[in-house]
Amino acid sequence: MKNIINIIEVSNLSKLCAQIILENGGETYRAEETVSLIGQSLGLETDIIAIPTGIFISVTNNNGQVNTVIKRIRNRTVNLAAIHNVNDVSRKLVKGQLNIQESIERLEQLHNAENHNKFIYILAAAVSSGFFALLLQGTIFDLFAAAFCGIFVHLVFNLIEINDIFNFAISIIGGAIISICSIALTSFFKIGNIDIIIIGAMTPLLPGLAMTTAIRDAMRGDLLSGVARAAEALTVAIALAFGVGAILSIYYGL
Amino acid sequence: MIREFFICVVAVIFTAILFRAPMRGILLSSLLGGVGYILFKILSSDSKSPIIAYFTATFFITVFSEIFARLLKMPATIFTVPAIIPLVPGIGLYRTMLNLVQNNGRASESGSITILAIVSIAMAMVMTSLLTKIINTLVNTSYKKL
Repeated sequence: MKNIINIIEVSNLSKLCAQIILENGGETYRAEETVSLIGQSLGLETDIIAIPTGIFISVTNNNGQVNTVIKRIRNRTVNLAAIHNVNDVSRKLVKGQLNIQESIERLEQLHNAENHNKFIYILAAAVSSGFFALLLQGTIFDLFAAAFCGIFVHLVFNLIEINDIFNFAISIIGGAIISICSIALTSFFKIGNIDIIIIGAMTPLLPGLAMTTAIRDAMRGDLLSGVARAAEALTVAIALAFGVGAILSIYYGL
Repeated sequence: MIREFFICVVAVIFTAILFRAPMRGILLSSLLGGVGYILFKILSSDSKSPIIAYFTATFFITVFSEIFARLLKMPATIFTVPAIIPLVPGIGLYRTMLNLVQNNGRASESGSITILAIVSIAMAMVMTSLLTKIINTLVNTSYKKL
């Protein structure tokens, strides 16, 4: 053998790849394909089971030594750039442009990268909420009201440290905040359409990604992941509707 | 219609920023989102049933995201996720919930339309991933034969 490959390093690398992909909203088949491609390119036998809540990887070398890693995935956000970057690193590793240590370094940088400017994301949420309201034949007032609701929801999300609370609770709180804001704004200024403002502010929070990945995973035969993602999408949608509906029923009941 | 297209493009650009999409992907995914939404609008205004409109628009978006993914060597998800957001039936979900709250007996009607919309979006995605899988295997086997 010309170079001895450390299976512990390889399993560490595979774990980082799969973990970053799953934590940032990638499909499970993408995590599995990335890891098995890396294994193939290094001439090792790798086996991986990835589900949205965890990964199991085992790496076997030519001498029959086996190393297994298990990683629990707890935080799941949407970060498309991270998926793209992992894709890039694994592509370069397979082509031989990066070695194992360099790839591990890059992936660790990716994993530890903090979002410095939360302000931009809050602004993006506000503008997209506003323009979705405008898309539903809203007026200029509806645009600004929906933008305000979007800002407020994301400020509260940042305050209550999303990672510690369940998706379900966050969606209920988000829906409730959106409806409270829109009721307050429309009844204060006496103009605007409550429905359009609520739908506009709600659209960026809808589980479009979870729905998409659920179907793709189920199609590929990853039934467990498909069902898990579908459950996630359904939970978020029901929780959002519940949050909005609870406030509206109080408002219409009064 | 042109006004709606530009509103939709701006909305998708900022949704893509919210999802932290890489810079190169944002413009293409916003154009996809805008064209897909206009396609949906045209089709749903002509025919009575919005189901075919949802299907066609989603099919268009997903097929072009696969093509862009091959061209730019990026995952297709980067284009699909922001572009599909304007099609997700938020209005249907909201109306269903509102009808339930007001207890006026129309919740099942709007609820079934919403579920059908989601199913048709899903079926379009399934069709695309089937197509890409078939084309991929065909290309791979023909490479091996050569």
